[in-house]
Amino acid sequence: MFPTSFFVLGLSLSALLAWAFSWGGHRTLTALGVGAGCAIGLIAAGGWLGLPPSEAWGVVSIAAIAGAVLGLIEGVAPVVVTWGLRFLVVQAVVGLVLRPLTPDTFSIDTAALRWSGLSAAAFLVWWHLDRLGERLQGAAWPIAWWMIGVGTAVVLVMGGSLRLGQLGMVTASVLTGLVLGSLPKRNRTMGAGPLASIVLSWLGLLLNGTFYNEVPEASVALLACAPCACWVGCLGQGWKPKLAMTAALTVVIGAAIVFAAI
Amino acid sequence: MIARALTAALSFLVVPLVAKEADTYKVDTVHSSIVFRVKHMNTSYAWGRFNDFTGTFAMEGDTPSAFDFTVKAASVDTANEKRDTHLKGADFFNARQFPTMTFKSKDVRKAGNAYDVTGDLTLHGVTKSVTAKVEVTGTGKGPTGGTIAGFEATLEIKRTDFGMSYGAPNMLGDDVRIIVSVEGGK
Repeated sequence: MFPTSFFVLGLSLSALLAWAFSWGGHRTLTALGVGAGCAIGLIAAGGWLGLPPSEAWGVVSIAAIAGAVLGLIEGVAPVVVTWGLRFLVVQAVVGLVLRPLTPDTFSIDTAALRWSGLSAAAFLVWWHLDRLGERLQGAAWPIAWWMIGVGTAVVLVMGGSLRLGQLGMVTASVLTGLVLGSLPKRNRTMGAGPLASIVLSWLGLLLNGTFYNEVPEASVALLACAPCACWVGCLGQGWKPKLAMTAALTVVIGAAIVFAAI
Repeated sequence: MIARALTAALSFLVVPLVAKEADTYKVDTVHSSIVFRVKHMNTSYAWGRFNDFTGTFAMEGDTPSAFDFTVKAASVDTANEKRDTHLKGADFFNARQFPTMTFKSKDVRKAGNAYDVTGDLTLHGVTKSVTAKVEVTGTGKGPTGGTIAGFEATLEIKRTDFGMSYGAPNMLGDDVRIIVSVEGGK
């Protein structure tokens, strides 16, 4: 692990990159900034990558880099290729996180069942995020993600891992940059494509939290479902639906934190 | 007659030269402890223990000759539930990914009144050769009449050598002293 000052520098740099690259509103550039920000921040928090990672939490950094590459490909690839790649990457991330638990904790059958179930659930969550991200305009979408990112970091710390909490802080930091970059663009939508690094890191963190630490499954489920609260923000124009969305998100994320704390 | 006398004479010569067969002892976990200490914030030593372990050791008379131990990482106990949860998690032992720690001796050498026992320690998924200082603390008869033996081993390791680097060296020291006090019966 690097010293604290290096970690803070990494966080600042990740936020700066996300802000600078998202400023123009170009999806591919945003994906590049988010991916690079995640990768730099995660290395600052967790140290240089060993390949293959010796511990399951190392998968988070690989997931972030894979997300950055995916974000770039999505800018030029047809939709069917995009979703095909997402499907493969989600399966790879879930598989890499679960692999060390087989066969000591899970039998091959149980692991295969969990792998396919969790991959399908994660894929569904990503599809949902994409639909949602195409509707929420301006900074509302990054703000919602920022709240989920901060909530995830808190839940991970409550679940007994400061390291995973730090990795969660990296995604929150990148999202801070994205929020700042999105504030002036009121009508912009971005879907979940440019957020591929965030989505995959988030998936890796939640899986690590519940399988290798003491994050309750209820907290993970609440965080995974938290984006549903964002539909409140799509109910109309103006600040009131957005405020209601923020309140709904606060309730769901707060409940996830409470479950992790008790 | 001559042949029988020669055989008897030779047997007197040969018997003392044959090495004693090693007796294997099973660790009595009720009367054994594995404790460790590590420095906190460069100030005081924090102590902990492992509550779940198994093992065997071999003795040739009063001389130890082999050690084989397995410790459950999730049994770490520092008398503080939250700290134990943190230690079992991904920041330190990562007990779900690396559920056991093992030590298997390879070489035992006499060093003064004690023994230097070199072997492979597997901790946090990393295997390294380490040397423990072992002192035989006694042998005798147990309450049921069986032979028992005891020893105390002290081992100094650097946790970062085993990939356990979180918070090292300032929040939690790198150097860890492990003390194994064991009683075993045949």
